[in-house]
Formats: sequence, structure tokens, C-alpha cells
Amino acid sequence: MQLARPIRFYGKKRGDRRTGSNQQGRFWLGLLSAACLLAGIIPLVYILVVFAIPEWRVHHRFVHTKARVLDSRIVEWTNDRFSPEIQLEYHLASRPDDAPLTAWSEYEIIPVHSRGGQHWERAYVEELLSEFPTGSEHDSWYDPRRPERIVLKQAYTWSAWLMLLLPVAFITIGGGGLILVLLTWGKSTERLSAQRPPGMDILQPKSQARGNLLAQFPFVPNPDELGDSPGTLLTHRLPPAKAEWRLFAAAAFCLFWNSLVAFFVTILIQDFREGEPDWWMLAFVIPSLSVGLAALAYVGRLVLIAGGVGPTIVEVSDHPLALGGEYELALSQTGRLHIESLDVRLVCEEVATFQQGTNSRTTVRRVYEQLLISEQSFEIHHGLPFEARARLQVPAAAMHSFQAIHNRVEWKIIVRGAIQRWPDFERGFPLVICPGAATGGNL
Amino acid sequence: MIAPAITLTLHESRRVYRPGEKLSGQYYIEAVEGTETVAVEISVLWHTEGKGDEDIAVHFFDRVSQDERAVLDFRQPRVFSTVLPNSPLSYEGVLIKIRWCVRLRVFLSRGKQIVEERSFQLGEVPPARAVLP
Repeated sequence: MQLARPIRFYGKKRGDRRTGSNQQGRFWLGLLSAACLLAGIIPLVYILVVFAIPEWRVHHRFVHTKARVLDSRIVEWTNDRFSPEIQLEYHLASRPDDAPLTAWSEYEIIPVHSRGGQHWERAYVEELLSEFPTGSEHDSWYDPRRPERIVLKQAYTWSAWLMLLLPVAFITIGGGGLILVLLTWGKSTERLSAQRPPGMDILQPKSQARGNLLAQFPFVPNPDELGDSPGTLLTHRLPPAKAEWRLFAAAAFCLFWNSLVAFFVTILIQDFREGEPDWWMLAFVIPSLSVGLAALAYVGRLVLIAGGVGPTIVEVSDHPLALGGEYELALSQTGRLHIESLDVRLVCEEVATFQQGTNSRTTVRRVYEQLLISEQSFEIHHGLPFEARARLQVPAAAMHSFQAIHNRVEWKIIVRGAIQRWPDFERGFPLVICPGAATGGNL
Repeated sequence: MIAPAITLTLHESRRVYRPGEKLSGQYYIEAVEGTETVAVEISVLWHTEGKGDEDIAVHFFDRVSQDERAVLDFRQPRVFSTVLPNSPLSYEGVLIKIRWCVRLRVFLSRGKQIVEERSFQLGEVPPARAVLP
């Protein structure tokens, strides 16, 4: 039998997006969370029962006494693993006048609880027992609930306490997932969205700092979050887009990568000097070295742009702007440069973020561009910045600034410069544009 | 199972609304023997389509469900109305599309759901076209 189209097991494709049953998705999320929770609880209980609680009890509940060694032996387990056993004679602290008690001690508390799971090599056990010759007296601690349980060592296994972090992480993820499933089970997407408390709604703008302005325009980004400040040429100075992280990230990568490459290059040089060249390593190092050099060149370029080109200042006569509105824009560029060309543009870009497998990807598409200032071949002298003004006519028939979790419409001023004997630079200045009269809103 | 007939209408038949305008409509469900309507949710919402993962936000929401005290008759028309917000406006972008709609979700017995939508346009933003940087 020929099927008209193949059976889809996990959902269907609609446009650019895959869709499926929410309920089915939540069921699988619940199942996965439960498995995660279980994967956390089992090792947590094991670590608590075998290591944490017994060791804590030895420190805080066991009673101290002096014990005399009567005998010792080595117990052999499988796979050439051994554990020590020491016969002790001791008095109970609560009954010092009674006849002494005799018991076999397993040296420390862990073997008692791990059912012989803590074993060592024979040489180590022999060395351990040599510290407890027959007739010698030692500090020891016994369990008041079962006085025949006595240990000669009071210590914490710190690796076990650190290992607690792993099951705790599993429990947090699994428990959180299960709570999410329980809270959303049987509820429609619309009901969940409508019931989200205002403070919890991450789609909504965080603050309404400009009085009622942002309350009027939901999902238009808050201009205060851009951090604009009063200007000196015009009313508002636009903050530059945060690009410092790019230099920082590139420098960190460059340092890490080239340190690794330097390590391998050192080994390689040593091998060559000793007359035993490692050709496989050479084949690995050559492309790695190329990547390292490219990273170094990129960082150098960013440093040149950041340090060589002076600050760019963009100011506007009002902010936020409105679609269809007319404003004034001022540009100030400092430095000591010979500019080949300098362009200032108003642009609008769509930014879409989507999951592709386990990666989160972002695609940007420019949908509007307007040239505001264009200057060719001029000098900027030290202490005498280049200044220019332009009329900023925001188009009436366009989309306003928009911000949701995965999708954004961003407006910004872009300053792009080509400098003689220097890398080109581009600086962005985000701004907020609200719906205007032509599209139905009024500032 | 035969699905019950759902009627969802907007009082004004036009497709474009301006921000701040009132949007109203009504719905009713014609019962079919053997199926029981457990609850009904009416929402006025926007959601995104396109390259990015979906964003959704509900502007108006109302849920009517059967309870033990009274049996509701969903065959009787129920009216809803809301004042539309100033943003986000409907948008036909290159990567992003913002769609407004009235969505009626009917919950039937045994966990079945039926969804009926009436889309409308908020504002008049013309479609966008890609520009090469």
C-alpha cells in the first residue's frame, strides 16, 4: 500500500515551525522529569546512607573511649582487594566498672555501611595494620546504640560530600520539570498565558518608568532600559549598542586557544630537538596554529577599532520616537583620523531566535534603511570633533519597535566609517519607535 | 465521534481594527448527541509566526466551565467584547509575522478539544521587504 505522505512520529511542519500536541509534549516532559528525579534520589540516598549520615554520627553521636588492640587480620575480598579488621577491648563510658567489651572493628565507619564495599590493596592494608600492634592503646569511638560497633578513625570523605551536588542537580531539574508539568497539565496555552501574574510575565516590559507611556504600548521595549541620557547637542544622547563583550569574548578565546597551541608547539619542538618528530601532532598543530593566528588578527583589529577610532556620539531631539514623526539628529565623531567615507543610517531589523536541536540560533534581516548623513574624504583633528546634523524622518508606514521572548523588531542608527590605513568601523545606537498616528497610535 | 458545530462571529464583519477600538462578537455550540461540552475558553490574542520560535500573549481571556451547581447551555449565544490595545500591531515581516485572532477552544468530554479562530488585523502596517545592508 502506498501512503500519500510519510507518517510523522513527532509533529508536523507548518511554515517554518514544527508543531505538535502540547499535551503529548507535557507527558514526555513529565516522564523525563520523573526519570531525572529518580536518577537523583537513588544516588542521593546511597551517599547519605553509606557516607554522609554514618560519618556525621561518628563525629556527633559516637562515644569516645580508649581501646586496646587484641588481634588483627586482613579480610580478602574479590579482585585482590582487602580490608583490615582489628579486635579491640574497651570499656563503655557509661559503665566504666563493668567487664570490658571485645569487638572486631573495621577501622572506619564506611566499610560497615557499604557492606564491605570499601577495599584497598594488600600493601596499603598491611601498612595500616602496622600502626595498630597487639597490646597498643588507641582513641576509638563506639556507637551508643550498638556498642559492639567501634571505629578507630574519625574523618569525613569530602569527595562523597562533593558528590552530593550531582544528585541534587538532578533532583532540582527533575523536580522543577515535574512541578511545571503539574502546574500546566490540562491547561490551554491561552489560559496559561492569561493566568501568568503580571510580575511573572517575561513577555511584558519590566518597568513602566515613563509613566503611562509604555503602559500604552505593550511589547514596545522600554527606552529606559537602553539607558539613554541627556545630550549636549540635542535633547537625548543615544547609548551605543553593547559591543564590548565581543572584544572580551574574542580576547578570552584567543588567549585560551593560543595557550593550548603554545603547549603543543613546545612539545613538538622538544620532540624535533630529540630527533623523534611526531608527525601526527604536527598535522594537528598546523591548522590549530592557523586558527590561533586568525583569532589574534581579529582581536588586534577589534583593539585597533576600539582604541584608534574616538568615541562616536549620536543625539536625537526626542526619544522614544513615533512612526511618521520628524526629528533632528546630531552626530559627533572624535579622533585623529583621515576619513574616506562616513555614513549614518536609520535602519530597522527583524531578529528571530529559534531552537535548532540543542542550539539557540538567531537570524537577523534588515527591512528598512534610510541614509541620513553621507560624507566623503575629510580629516578629523585632535580636540576638534567632526559634527553633522540631519533631519530624521521616521517612516509612517513601517513596524514599530517590538520585543517578545523569541522575536524582536529593532530600530537603530548605524554609523559606518572607512578610515585610511585603518580597519573600517561600524557602531550601532538602538532607539525605540512607538506606533504613530498612521498605524493607529499617538505618543 | 461527530464534532459539535461551533459558530464564532465578530459583530463587525470588517477585518481591520484600529488600536483602542472595541472588538466584540459571539459564539455558540450546537450540541451533538453523545458529546458533552465541559468548558469553553474565548481569547483575544496575538502570536508570532515565521523563522523564530513562537511568542504568544493573551489580551482578553474568559473561561466558562460546567460545574456541579448549574448545567450551562452552550447553545445559547454568549457575547464577548474587549478594547484592543495600542500594540503590537499586526505585521507581515520577512522573518516575523504578528497575527491577531479571536480563538475559541471547546473542551469536550474524554479530553477532546476543538479550536475555532477568527483572525483580524490590528493597525495598518504595510508588509515589509528585505533590504540588503
